[in-house]
This record gives sequence, structure tokens and C-alpha cells, in this order.
Amino acid sequence: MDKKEKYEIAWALFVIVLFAVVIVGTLPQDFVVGGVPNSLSILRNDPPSDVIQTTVISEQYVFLVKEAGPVNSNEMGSPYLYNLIIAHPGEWLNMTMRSADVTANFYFPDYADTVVDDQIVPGLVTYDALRVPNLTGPFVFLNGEYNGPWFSYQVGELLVLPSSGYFDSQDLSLLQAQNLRAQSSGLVGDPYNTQMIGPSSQFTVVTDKYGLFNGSVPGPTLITRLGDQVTLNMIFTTPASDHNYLYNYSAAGVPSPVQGIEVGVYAVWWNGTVSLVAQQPISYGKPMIFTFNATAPAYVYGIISPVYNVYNPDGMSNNLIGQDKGYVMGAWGTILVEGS
Amino acid sequence: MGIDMGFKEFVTALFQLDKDWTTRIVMGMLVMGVIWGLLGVIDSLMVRLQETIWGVSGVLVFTPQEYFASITLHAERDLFGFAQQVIYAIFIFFTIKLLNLQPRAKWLLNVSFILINISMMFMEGPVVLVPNFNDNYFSATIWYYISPIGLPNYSNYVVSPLFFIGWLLLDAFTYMAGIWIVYHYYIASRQLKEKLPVPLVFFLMDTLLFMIGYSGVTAANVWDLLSFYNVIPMNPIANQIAFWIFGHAVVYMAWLPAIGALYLLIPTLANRPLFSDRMGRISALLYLIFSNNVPIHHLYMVNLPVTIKVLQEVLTYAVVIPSMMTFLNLWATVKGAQVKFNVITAFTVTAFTGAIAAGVTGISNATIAFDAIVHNTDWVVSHFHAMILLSIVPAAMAVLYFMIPMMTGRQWFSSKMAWFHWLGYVIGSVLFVVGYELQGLEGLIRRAEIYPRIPSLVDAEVLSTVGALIAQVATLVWFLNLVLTLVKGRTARLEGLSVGQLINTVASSLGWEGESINISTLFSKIMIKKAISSMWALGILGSIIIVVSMFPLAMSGNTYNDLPWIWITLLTLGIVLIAYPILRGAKSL
Repeated sequence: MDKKEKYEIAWALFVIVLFAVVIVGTLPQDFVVGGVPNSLSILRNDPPSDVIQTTVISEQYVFLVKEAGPVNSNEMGSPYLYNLIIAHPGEWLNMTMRSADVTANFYFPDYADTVVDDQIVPGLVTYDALRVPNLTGPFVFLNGEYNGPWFSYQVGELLVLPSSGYFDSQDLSLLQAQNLRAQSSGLVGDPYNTQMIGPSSQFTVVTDKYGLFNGSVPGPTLITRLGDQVTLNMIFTTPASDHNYLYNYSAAGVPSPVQGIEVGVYAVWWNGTVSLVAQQPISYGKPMIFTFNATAPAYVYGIISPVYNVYNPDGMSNNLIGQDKGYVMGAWGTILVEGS
Repeated sequence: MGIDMGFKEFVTALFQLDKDWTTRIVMGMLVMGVIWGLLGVIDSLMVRLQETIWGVSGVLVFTPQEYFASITLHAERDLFGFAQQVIYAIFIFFTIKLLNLQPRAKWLLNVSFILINISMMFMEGPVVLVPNFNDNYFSATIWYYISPIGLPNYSNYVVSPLFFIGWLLLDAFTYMAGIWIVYHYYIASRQLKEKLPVPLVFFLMDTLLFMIGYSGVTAANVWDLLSFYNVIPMNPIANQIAFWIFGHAVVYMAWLPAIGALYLLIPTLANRPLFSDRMGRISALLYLIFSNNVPIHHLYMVNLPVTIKVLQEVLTYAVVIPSMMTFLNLWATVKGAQVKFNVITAFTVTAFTGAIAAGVTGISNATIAFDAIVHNTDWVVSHFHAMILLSIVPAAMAVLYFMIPMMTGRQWFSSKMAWFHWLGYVIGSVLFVVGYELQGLEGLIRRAEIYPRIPSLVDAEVLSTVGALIAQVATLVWFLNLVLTLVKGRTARLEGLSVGQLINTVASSLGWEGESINISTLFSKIMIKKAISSMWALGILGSIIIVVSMFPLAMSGNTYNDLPWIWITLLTLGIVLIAYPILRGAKSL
């Protein structure tokens, strides 16, 4: 071995030592990320009263969520919520995740507390423990893995309600400040949180040509006050192109705006119950006005069940040419109720 | 086209139809590669427009199908139609020219050439003409590592089976053209009196890497097509692991030619021998051993046994070792040398420094704890685009800047256009990569068609798009320069020059006292039969073991059992049996 080869070997050994330091230094973390069962070990010392058993099922293009424990999900009789998780500060989500069809991902980008980024592969079960943020408010989670053309619409909210009572104005200001920081600095807070509007008792939201309120999924977070008589005016622009998930094809291949689906306002209660406040069949191009008295800590508005979209121009879709269909939610959002 | 040149002369000049058959096929591959490359660039431009216009004005220019199909086709066309085809063309050309061989098996190469170009058409998916024109059935499965997307009975989104058939044709190309190249190295090895030069070692090693790596995707392709027609059930995680055997290795398949080119160009331009010839060869061996058995580092965030993930982290770091050895070797070679700055030098330096800059982000991704934060974000997109744009493409350009005159006998039409190309390309690519890194650090997930329209993200998206446009304009100038060179470039007397002398002439740079390898090129079938040594036989045994390794993987269920360990052991054993004996048999070590 000549001198030059000795230099090379010394250099390679130096690199190996550096890598060994990184491997050993990060090893403990390896056992609690990536959806392995041991991710739940952090919950061992928490009392059951603080842990919500959360089942997440991903399917193209929604998350179905079932909660049990301190929160028991119940959406008008069904144990499943669509794209919505309800929790309280200080609690933990004991998450069990599966896929009903293709590979997906659960991505919770709240860098202030933690990041959860797990693949959900059909045939496997994914586990994780998500610490609910200490701050009340909505925090976005989303599908981080492409799973088909409506992938960008698979976005949900972890709605952190006060353990009792209503949203505190100071907490809402903190949330807004954290959102602004997240939107200007890397690896800080949740950059996906949507625009907050209010406090007010009069709101108008209009869908764009993609069937979204204010160009975001979910739509803006509206803030109102306890006891206010709230008027929410929702206007659905008539869908007219393949850009819009509300523009659907029949079996014969004729497109038309989706009919027969419900638009409404629904109360979200501390225990995980989602109850009907008011709803109407969808109508396009004219105001759909909802009036209610703000008594629940939060509400969800819009179309809170997925729309089954089928792309089938001229009836040509088949297994040789291709098919494109799935469950899509776009026009929805939350209302937070500020206490006195 | 020159005014004084007819269409027939133009086609002859473009495809070099007046040259020997190897040069004709190589030129055909280069021309088709550039065509697919430009189409892929248009796809990428569609992606950039969609994301940027959404950020700036809240408008989506394309339908979801068009947008996601653009991402798929950008990957397929640029990575395979362009990069793989051009890489194979370069290997074929240098294998014949540098080894001074009489090429054989013309039909094998011709069929391969046809297959890869048909495969690109199949991957595009069907375009419906009647009753109404519809191109929205384009394949939109990215480059499909997310099994079982696209399969009927598993996925709501069903892709045309033409997509999977296209992949099988690409697999066929890889093996047929790969066998052609290895066969010629085999012929050469029987007559070589000395070791292969290090750049040629890298070209041979990379061809082997292609063929080992494609074993995974070929298994995945066959499985997908059988599941598409309900012949056998799909196990998505096993299919994904099989795909990623290829999916990670493809990074090295594309990058190692750049390393081979640097091993050729840096000593040449510095007019010095390589700092350590032996370590260059050992680096090649290590690359081959450690590039094909790390698929699970793309699946860190999947519920797989942690021990096997940690093993993959260690093996992934292991592949950095030959890179670090290479960086020291090349840096020490050029240290203190007087190097003239010309376009070839500029692209060579860009490829070297770009590999370091881009490699650093790769090391962080390879760390499980770090991946837990950036997985699926645009940070990852930034990393592999940095490798491609700042290292692989510049090295390819450095090679093409001397290879085109070498093939055509014509000097470049315009040096000013070449300089504009380098400057615009580098500035544009850096802006593009930095924009994507910023998006990733903001937490933006990749392929986000609809994303928060906040200033920091919009600025980063615009930065990437401006960079892409600058780089693309610069590349178009290169393309124009290329066409003008083919039809109007000054005739250069380059016949009989060694590669080093040719680079010197083309670049008006340093001379090179290179060795030319002259070997006998006529072999009888009897000689070839006798030449099959135990080393090459071990390589064939290794190939069989790799094929066998797919079965325990396919049967591994949720992977919490012994079968994944049997798979990774067999796979690694197969790779080692191919790597050392064949490189040794080909006089590379």
C-alpha cells in the first residue's frame, strides 16, 4: 500500500467514524418513528383518560376517523367522521391507521409540538402517538403520499376544542400569531392552517371554479361569539369543468353538476358528537343562507361528507383506457366559538 | 438547417447515416434521447406553470389528470427516454471506440433501440380520438412506486395496462442492450494485457448496476401486470420494496456515468495521472456492492422492522464511502494543477462540486430520524433534482461537448452559445434547487397541486420556476448549437486521436499523454467458448440468486418474519457474486 492509498483509507475511516456517531446518536429516535408499534411506547405512562383511541382509514380521497375514550366520535349516528379529528389540549391520540385501497400517508406538520409523517400501506397497520397541541384551534393534517388525481383534496383538521367552555380570545390570538410564523419560517408551526376570519356573526363564502371556499382545503376558519345569531351565506358556483369534483359524469358519459347532496352547518360538541344544525340540498349559483344561534364550542360547515366523483367522458372509461373515480371533499371548513 | 443543405443531407447529418453502424445506432439513441428529453422538459414546464400560477393567482391551468400525468411523463421521459438512453449510447460508443473492438450482434442493439423508444410511447397511455379527442387518460401514477395504485380491484384510479407493458419493454431494453455491452467487455477482457482504464471500469460497473437494479422493477412489473388481470394477488409492500431495489439504484445508475466521466476528464484536464488508480477501482467495486440493496431507506416511514431499517441506514451510509474516496481522489489529482478554463472544464467542475452539494442533502435524507421530518416533502424533490441538475447533467454535457465532435468530425458551431449554455444552465439549476429546498423546509408536501398561498411558499415556487425557465432556455441554446454543429460545424480532423488528444483539440485546452489500448478484435467462437472463466460463471450464479431472492420477498407478508432477512441476504450475496468476479474477470480490479 502506497502513501496515497493510506491517505484514502484514513479519509474513509474518518467518514466512517462520523457516520457511526450519527447512527448511534439518532438510534433511539429510530424506534419511535415510521409507524412501528413501538411508536406507542410514549403512551405507557399516560392515564387512559388522556388517551383517545383513534382509528384512521384512508381511502381515495378521504380519511375516515373513529374515536373512542375521552372523545367518542358520533356524526349524526355514525361513529365515523370524515377528515376530522376532535380532541382537547394535553390529550394524546393513540392512532391505528389502515388503508382501504391504495398507499397513503398521514402527515401532521405541526412543528411546534411534533411532526407525524407515516406511510399507510394496504395490508399493513400503521401506529403512532400524536400529542394534541396545547393550543386550541384547528390544525391541518393531510395525505402526504400521492394516491390519484384528487390527491390534493385529502386534507383534514385536528380540531382542538377547549376541555370545557369556549375558545379563549387570547388563545385565538396566539394561534393566529403561530400561523403567521409558520407561514414565514421553515419548520415552525403548521403552514397549512387556513385563513381565520372574524370574530363576526355574518359570513359569506363562495366556491371558486374548483369547488373550494377561498381557494383552500379546508375553507377558511370562521370565528364567532358565544350566543351570537350567526348568518352563514354559502354560494356554490355552478361547476362547469373537469377541474371541479362537483362536476360528475353519468354511466353514459354525460357530465352535469352533482345533485342530491346536502350542504349544512353542524355543531361539534366537547365529547365528539357532531349534530345537525341546519342543512339543505345543494343548489348552484344562488345563496344558501343558514342562520343559527352559536351555542356549541365549534361547528363545521359546507359539504362534510365526501362526493363520489366519476370521470367518464363519452362513457369511455374502462380497464383498458383507464378509470378515475373516488370520494372527494373540498367545500367545508370550521367555525370556532369565542367565549365571553 | 443550412440553406445549401437538402432534407436528405440534413437527415444524414443528424443521424450520422454515413458512419459505421455502431455510430449510427448511437446517434439514433442520442437524437431520440434528446427528443424525449425535450418532451419531458415540456412536461416539467407544465408542472411548474400549474404550481406557480396557482400560487400567484389561485388559478389551476391544467386539470388534475393533466397535472399529475405531467409529473409521471416528466419522470419517465427524462429519466429513461432521455437519461438512460443517452447513458447507454455513451457506454456503447466508448466501449467500442476505446477498446477498439469490432462490434458484433447488430440485431441485438437495433432491437433494443426500438424497444426503449416504443416503451416511452406505451407509458404515455392511450389517447382517445373518437367520438371526441381526449388525452386525459394519460398515465398519472408518478413513476409508480406506490403500489397498488392504478390496479383495478385495488385502486379507484385505474391506469391503462399499456403503462405496465411500456415498463416491461424498458426492462427488455435494459437487459438486451446491457448484455450487448457486457458481452463486448467480455470479448475485450480475453485479450487485454493490462487493466481497464478507470473510466471504462465505471462504465462496465454501471452497466452491471443497471442490470442488477432492474431485477427489482422487472419483478414488480410482472407482478403488476399479473395482478392487473387478477392472475395473482398483490402484496403492496413487497411490490414497493422490489420496485425500490431499482428506484434507489437508478440514482446511482444515472450518477455513476458522471463519476466515470470525472475520472476521465479531471486527470485529462489537469494533465496529471489519477492520484490513486487502485482506490478508483475499489470505489467502483464498492459502488456496485452497496447501490442495489438499500430499497428500504425509501420506506423508513412504513411499519417495517426497525432492525432492518437500521441495517439499511448503515448500508446507505456505506455507499457514501466510495463517493468520499472519489472526491478525495479527484481533488488530490487536480490540486495545484494549471487548468485552463473552457466549457468542458466548467461543466466538469460543476459536476464535481454539484455532487458534493447535492450529496449532503442525500446523507440527511438517509438518516431515519431526519427522514421522519422531511419525508414526502419537497426537500426530497430538491435533493434528487440537485443530483440530476448539478452533477449528472453537467457531467453528461462535459462528455457530449467532446463526444459530438468525436462522432461527427465537426467542431462546435459556436463557443459563445456553449458559454451561454453553461452560465444559464448553472444559474437556472441552482435557483430551481434552492426554491424546492425552501418549499420542503416550509413543510410543503411534494406534488401539491393546491397548497397554501402564503408569500414564503409562493416566492419559493416562483424562484423554482424562474430557475427552470432560465435553465431550459440555456438548454435550448445548446440544442440549437448541436443542430447547427451537425449541419454547419467546421470540419475537424479528429480521426486517430486518443480521447485525451481529442479533448485537447475540442476544448483547445491541455494535452494528454494518454494510453491507447489496442487489442485484437477478431475472435473465433471457439476462443469465446474457452474464455468463459470461473469468474464470469460466478456472475451468472449471482444473477440467478438475485432472481431467487424475489420469492422470499414476495412471500414476506407484513415483513415481521424471517423472510425479509433471507431476501436481503440473498440479494446482497447475488450482488457480491456479480460485482467482484465480473469486475475481476473484466480486468477492472
